[in-house]
Amino acid sequence: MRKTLYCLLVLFGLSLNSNVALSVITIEIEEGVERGVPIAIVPFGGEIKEDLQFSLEEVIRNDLYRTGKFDPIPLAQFPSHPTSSDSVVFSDWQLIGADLVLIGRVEPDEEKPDHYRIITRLYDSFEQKQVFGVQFIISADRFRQIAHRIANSVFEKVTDQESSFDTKILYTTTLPISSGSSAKHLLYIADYDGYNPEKILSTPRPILSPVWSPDGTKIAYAELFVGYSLIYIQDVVTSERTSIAAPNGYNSAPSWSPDGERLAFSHSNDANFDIYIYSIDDQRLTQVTDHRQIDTEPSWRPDGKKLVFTSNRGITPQIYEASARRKARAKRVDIDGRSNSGASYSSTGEQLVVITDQGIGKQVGIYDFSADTTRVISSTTLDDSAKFSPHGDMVIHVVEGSKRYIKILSPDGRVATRVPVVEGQVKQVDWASF
Amino acid sequence: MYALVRFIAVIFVSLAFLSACAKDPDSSMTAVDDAPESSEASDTSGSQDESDLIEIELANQSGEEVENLLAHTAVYFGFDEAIVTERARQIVEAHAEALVANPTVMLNLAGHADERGTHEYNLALGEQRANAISALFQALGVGASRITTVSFGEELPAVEGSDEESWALNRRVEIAHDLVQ
Repeated sequence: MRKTLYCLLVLFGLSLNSNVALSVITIEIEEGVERGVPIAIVPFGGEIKEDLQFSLEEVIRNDLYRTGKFDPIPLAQFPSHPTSSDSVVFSDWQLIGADLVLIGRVEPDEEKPDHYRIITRLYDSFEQKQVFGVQFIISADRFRQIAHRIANSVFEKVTDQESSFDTKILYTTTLPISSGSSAKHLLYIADYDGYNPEKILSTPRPILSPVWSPDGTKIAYAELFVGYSLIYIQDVVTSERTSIAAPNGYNSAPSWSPDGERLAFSHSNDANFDIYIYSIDDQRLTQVTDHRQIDTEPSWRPDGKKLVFTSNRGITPQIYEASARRKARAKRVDIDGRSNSGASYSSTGEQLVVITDQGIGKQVGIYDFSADTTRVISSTTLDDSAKFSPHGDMVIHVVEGSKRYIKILSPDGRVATRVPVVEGQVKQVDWASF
Repeated sequence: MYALVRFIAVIFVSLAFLSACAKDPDSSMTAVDDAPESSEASDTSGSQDESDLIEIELANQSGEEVENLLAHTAVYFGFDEAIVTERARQIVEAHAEALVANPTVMLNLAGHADERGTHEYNLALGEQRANAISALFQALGVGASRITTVSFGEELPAVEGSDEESWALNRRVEIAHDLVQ
């Protein structure tokens, strides 16, 4: 039994500036049995002169919440708003069930102009001791990044794993036909939570399968022309792009090898799609599959030895795995469901995230190789373009339909939050692997 | 084997059906509802002579019936499928006949998918649908050199909307040539 609860949190950024900044975040909560670690994230004290439109604690709270491993306690329940260590009364925090208490304050730095000193401490209220204390000296334009770093420190202390809070995403959108512009297809880079968006391509033709290179300096994508498509490699900084030397026809679904030296992609010259590998340095092509049915959407295993891809050789689309070499034998990955497509590995290679059809629509599923189990983690049924975060702490995907949006799921499916998009209807998303 | 038998049966039923219409050009609606006549025709479909006879009748049928089917410039598919439906086959047959009679006219087939499923798979599915229709045109006598196929995947929906009705209209192959507008 699953219920979706829509909860509108109105957060007032009271602490950071004298102008009261108002931000509204819509968070969908998938109710479940498991709970995260209860944490109180106290509004940071101090004032800054810049108008940031967000507060540090709000960024930290959302980061931790999205992973499903933390349950931030609502502000209204807080017994006090301490900003320094001497005002933390552990017994008060124990009463509201806050295992962890994060406090912080912001002060102008005495030496560097326009820089601030951010001092933050995490406490374990039951152990009655400090877990960590850290300070940053930073300009206001990097406050979001620092907030992500503080959230990462909390995440690491509790889970012993790294988070993906300070990473980037890549997404495509389409402007409505009525927009009047000829460049209707856009490619954006943004922080993982949608902030600091930067447009890096606009074109009149559809853009397919945008993907980051492993080192984050380049992206690859396909552009769809009438009767053919080209795969481009674009430099993220300079925006210079070149198309790869692949045969005529459709070239699509690029996927970078973990070493960044090769691209797996699908190619069709009027007959059907097969999987190929393109060696970027010497432009050498290797045909991996040769089947009369569709083979597409290759994705590399993190060890670089194997690929998964989608094929309808068994009538319905399903996921197959093959060695990343010439004329490889493909083996069906035993994922439950009427159909499965768009698979990609977790960073450890132990799981696949996949678009699965279990009879009620296209949903995000996680397949575990060793347990041989498929778990549906989304409550929506028009899902597309699902990817693990680089550290496996979240899953991102697009929800299609009349109002398309990007959603981040906790891997257990308990928490679902939306990622704001600048303009247009979002189509596909990728999460950087660095 | 079953599929082949069914395929042949479908051809004969539809040809018999068309010939029935041709005999009675003023009341095509009546012919549509006249199911017993169609099933009778399919019972006798094993006869080679009968099929030859029907083909001749098709060639001589009134222009009005051909017009009707030629007015359909898209054929539709089931979800996640590139299988040619009986209805699609009828429409393709009408277009093929017109194209065979006009051997210089080129044919373009554009395959599309609905929004469900991944963009990449849908690009491939659009191609597979266009190729399935192309193969049928070739079987009906339209040379491969006259046919171009393209796929747009789910990128160019015919209708906006996220319901069964819209999806059904978006899973299509568009048939374009100079004999239709």
